[in-house]
Amino acid sequence: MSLREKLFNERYRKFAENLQKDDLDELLPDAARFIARLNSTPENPVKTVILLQQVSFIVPRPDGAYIPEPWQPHILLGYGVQPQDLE
Amino acid sequence: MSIRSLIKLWNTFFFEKRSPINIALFRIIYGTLVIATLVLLRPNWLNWYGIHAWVSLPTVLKLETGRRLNLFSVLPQSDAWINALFWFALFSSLLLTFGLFTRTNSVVVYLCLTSIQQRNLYILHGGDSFLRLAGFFLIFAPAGAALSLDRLIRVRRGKEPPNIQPRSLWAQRMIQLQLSLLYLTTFLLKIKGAPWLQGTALFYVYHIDELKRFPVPGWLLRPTVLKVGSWAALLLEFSLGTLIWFKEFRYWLLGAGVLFHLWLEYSLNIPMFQWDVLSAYILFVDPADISRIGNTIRLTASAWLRAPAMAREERTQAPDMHQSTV
Repeated sequence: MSLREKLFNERYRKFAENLQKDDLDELLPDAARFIARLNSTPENPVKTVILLQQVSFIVPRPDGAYIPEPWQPHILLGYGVQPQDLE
Repeated sequence: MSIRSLIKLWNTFFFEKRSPINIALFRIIYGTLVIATLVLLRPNWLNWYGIHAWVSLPTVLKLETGRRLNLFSVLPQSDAWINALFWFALFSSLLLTFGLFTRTNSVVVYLCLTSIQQRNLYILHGGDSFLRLAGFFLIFAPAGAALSLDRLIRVRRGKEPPNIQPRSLWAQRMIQLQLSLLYLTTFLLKIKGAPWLQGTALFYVYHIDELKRFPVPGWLLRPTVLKVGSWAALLLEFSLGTLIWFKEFRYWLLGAGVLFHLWLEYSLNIPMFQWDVLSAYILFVDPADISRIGNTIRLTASAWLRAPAMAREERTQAPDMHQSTV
């Protein structure tokens, strides 16, 4: 992402951070509906949205170096899209 | 110390009359920051606040119970109205920046900003909350008493003397308190967790890919440097929350705070946060120093503007002098 894109889209980072919080689970169906609307066409409506959380732990090595850990996916939500969600 | 002297101290601190130049400058910076925040939100305005936004209004009202100041709840539910709110907020913040109908626009900007924040709380950072709270106190401050179109009009109409009159300080004090509380609570929250006390916190911060902005030299990411950096940040935040009230430390701390936030602005991608916080620094500067800086800028600018004019004058006079000597 360019710096300009980062500036305009930084709110998404904060939003994604909040989506992963347990006490804000109720945000997930709304987010799934938004993604469904975004990716649907009348000929090809989205039927299912799966929200995945990718986790990679930041672990300092004994010598202070950092080697990225592999990403681990976790399912946050599987959502069956209803026709009214796409209206 | 007697109770009477305590009351006197309280009254002087909050209600002493001083030049409104600080709060006027703050109004200009504040208005500019609100405009910048709105402009940055514009491309995704309907994605965040529209009828079919990422988070629907019913979900927000369900999650955030209780009465809240939220114009989105009373607006007709259409994207056209939601877009209109954007332009209304932008126009009002422009007027606030220029100081036209200052009081009215400070109320309107506060209402719009609060509504925008209440409509989607899940995309906010601490700087947004600070802008909202400062905006509330700005309503009560004499923000249009200097450097404003309102004052220019009043002076022209003979309703106000040309010299800026001192005004009560309490609203400005509340914003100052808000800033020092921001630092102090940040410090208290940080020392509750082990990473800041152990000095490992910045290691994690600087290894989050989404937060990275411009490249940071490798030696600054060494564990020892990051450890010292974590503790220095703690010390600075504590000092900005407490020692800033003492004149002897104030300018040193403000200088360190500016460098600290500029470094964060360079290295971390949290748009507007640093500027939101830095905006209130102007309230801690002595009005006499602001006048002194203003005069220096004025003198330098007029000398700079006068220099080409004088050069032109010399050029036009030169042939005459030549003729007279011949």
